[in-house]
Amino acid sequence: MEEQARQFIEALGGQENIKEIEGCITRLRGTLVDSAKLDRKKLQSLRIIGQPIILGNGIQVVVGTHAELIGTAMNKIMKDG
Amino acid sequence: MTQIQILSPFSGAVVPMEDVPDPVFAQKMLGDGLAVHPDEGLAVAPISGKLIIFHSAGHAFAIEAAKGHVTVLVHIGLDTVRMKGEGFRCLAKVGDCVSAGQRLVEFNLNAIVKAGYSVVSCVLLPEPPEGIQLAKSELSHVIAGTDTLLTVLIP
Repeated sequence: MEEQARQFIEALGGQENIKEIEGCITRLRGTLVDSAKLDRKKLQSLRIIGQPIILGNGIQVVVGTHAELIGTAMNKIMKDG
Repeated sequence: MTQIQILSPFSGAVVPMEDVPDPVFAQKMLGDGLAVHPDEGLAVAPISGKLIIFHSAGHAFAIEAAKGHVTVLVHIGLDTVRMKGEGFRCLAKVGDCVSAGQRLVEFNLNAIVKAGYSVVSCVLLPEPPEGIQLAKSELSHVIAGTDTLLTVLIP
């Protein structure tokens, strides 16, 4: 899970590009500094479902039913470095 | 042929998944099912089985059926994860074995509306086993724990 969380941080443009992120039940949702820095190819390689939904700098990525775990792991990594 | 009846977790008006005002649900990116516009703030277990997911915000859970490898996901309201549990009271926890009809979440419908979110709640099969058929209820209004919302046919 931790490795997967790291990959998602990278795919969203790195920690400095993520203002906030949280895991709902099936999707990660958050706010980015610049949604243009999103690495779509990398996101797809993480087996997300469909395309990421982008509204301004708000983003939602459907990852499956383990979304809350990934979101929690991402926040832990970003906090602890 | 095995049949699994999935009861409605909510009492309320039935809403086709395509009409849910959220693209992820409406486009069935997570799976197919039906939605309900609840009349009251109560969610019961739609099937007997094990609670495999219960979000910490209390607004969503998933149950793996005791038979047939079928998992049912229930999501109360839309974008309600942002309420961070406020207005939601969980009556069970992950790992619990629950019976169809058992009360799992009490929630405050007015709090959801006041917070600016839709109360439309989705019931779907996130990872359906291959080859199954899903029959949807044709009722326009269902009663929680009594009326069948979805029927899964496993060949």
